[in-house]
Amino acid sequence: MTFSCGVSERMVEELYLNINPLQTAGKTHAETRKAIFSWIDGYAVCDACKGSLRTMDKPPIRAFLADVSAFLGMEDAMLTNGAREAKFAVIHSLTEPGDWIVADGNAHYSTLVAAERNRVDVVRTATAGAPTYEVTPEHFAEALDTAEDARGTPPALAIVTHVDGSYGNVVDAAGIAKVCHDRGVPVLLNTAYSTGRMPVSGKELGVDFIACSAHKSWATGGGNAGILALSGAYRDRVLRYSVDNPVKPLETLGCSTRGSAVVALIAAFPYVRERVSHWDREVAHAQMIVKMLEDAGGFFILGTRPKRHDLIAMETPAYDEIAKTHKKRGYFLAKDLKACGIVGIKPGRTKQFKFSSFGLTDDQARYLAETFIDIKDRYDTR
Amino acid sequence: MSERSVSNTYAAMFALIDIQELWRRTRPTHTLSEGDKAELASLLATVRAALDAIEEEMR
Repeated sequence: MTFSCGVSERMVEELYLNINPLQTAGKTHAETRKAIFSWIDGYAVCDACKGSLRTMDKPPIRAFLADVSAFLGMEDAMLTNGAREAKFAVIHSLTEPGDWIVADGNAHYSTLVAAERNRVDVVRTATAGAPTYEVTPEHFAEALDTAEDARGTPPALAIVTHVDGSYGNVVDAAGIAKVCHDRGVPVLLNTAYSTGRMPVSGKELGVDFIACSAHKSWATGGGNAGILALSGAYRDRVLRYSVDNPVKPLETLGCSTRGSAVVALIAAFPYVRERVSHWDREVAHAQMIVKMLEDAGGFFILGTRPKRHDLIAMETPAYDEIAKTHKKRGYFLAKDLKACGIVGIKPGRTKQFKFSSFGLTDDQARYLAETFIDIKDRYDTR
Repeated sequence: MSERSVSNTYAAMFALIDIQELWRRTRPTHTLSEGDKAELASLLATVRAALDAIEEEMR
């Protein structure tokens, strides 16, 4: 079916196992899609507006913010349009143009862009390099000390990628936060790939801010949504209000995600709260897939071991060898996977690619690994 | 026509979304268990009942 605008319906999630790491944990639950269907009209959430999105009781945004703060082990929270907007708000609140911040060597580009828009330099830590690309507290200590010696001032902020989007490495956030705090540097944890998938407590990790991506990891659709959770110590600096419009938080220009996405986030929250308690099952699936692939030969996992996250990056010389002689070159893999009901890897990639096993059942996880191996064996036996 | 028909439209849509969820849950082979088949039959009955109620009010 094609709509009059030329856009067609999207049946990807109904027809295929979608293993695109960007999308696996943003897939919505039925209750969430019902909520989106009901609240899709522009500004629908503002039916009972009291002047600010964060104080809304119908839908229950005020109560949600209190609940989600507790869920994340923080003292307050605000809605944003995504994790990058949350990072931007904190950098904007804590820095002046010309200041510098530190970020890990696996930081997402949006961290760097958020700093650039704030006219703030970013010093990036080293990583362990191939094949683990690990970032440790020692990397942060080295970057902080070296850069402070060179610049003469400490950084205004450290942004730590809890789980990076390239290798799915889970960093020692508590260890890094201690290194930063020992040097008087506040810590923002970018959890675009962690909160909503796995248990995260800001209090236990000792971080000052948590940036969340609802459309990436909180089973939220219907638009963009994010959360910035913060400790009470920074509430006044970040969650400050306009002088001329005193009910409007400045950093979100009054109201942020003022559409169906916020209702979707509220509808998804009970489901998300429940699913993080099954994180061990997600990790077990990832570890099983890694083991099956490595045992089969021709697959090498990138990132730290043991695998502790559903995002799996692989080097696949077996596929790359096939691509050299296949008439479809590197595109054979995506085509063969699709024929087996699997989508989500970048077409044309055979040397190295990443995928996510989040949300798969036991049978689906096994089917995914078996399909990867079957495709390799199909050509090996020719 | 009344609010009841509007409400029944939502009831039908929501049951269809639950059917959509069934396709998502069983992708990519859509092999349905006996429990899945019973759930699908119940959801289809809900959709039909909602549409029948709208049609009845229209008469």
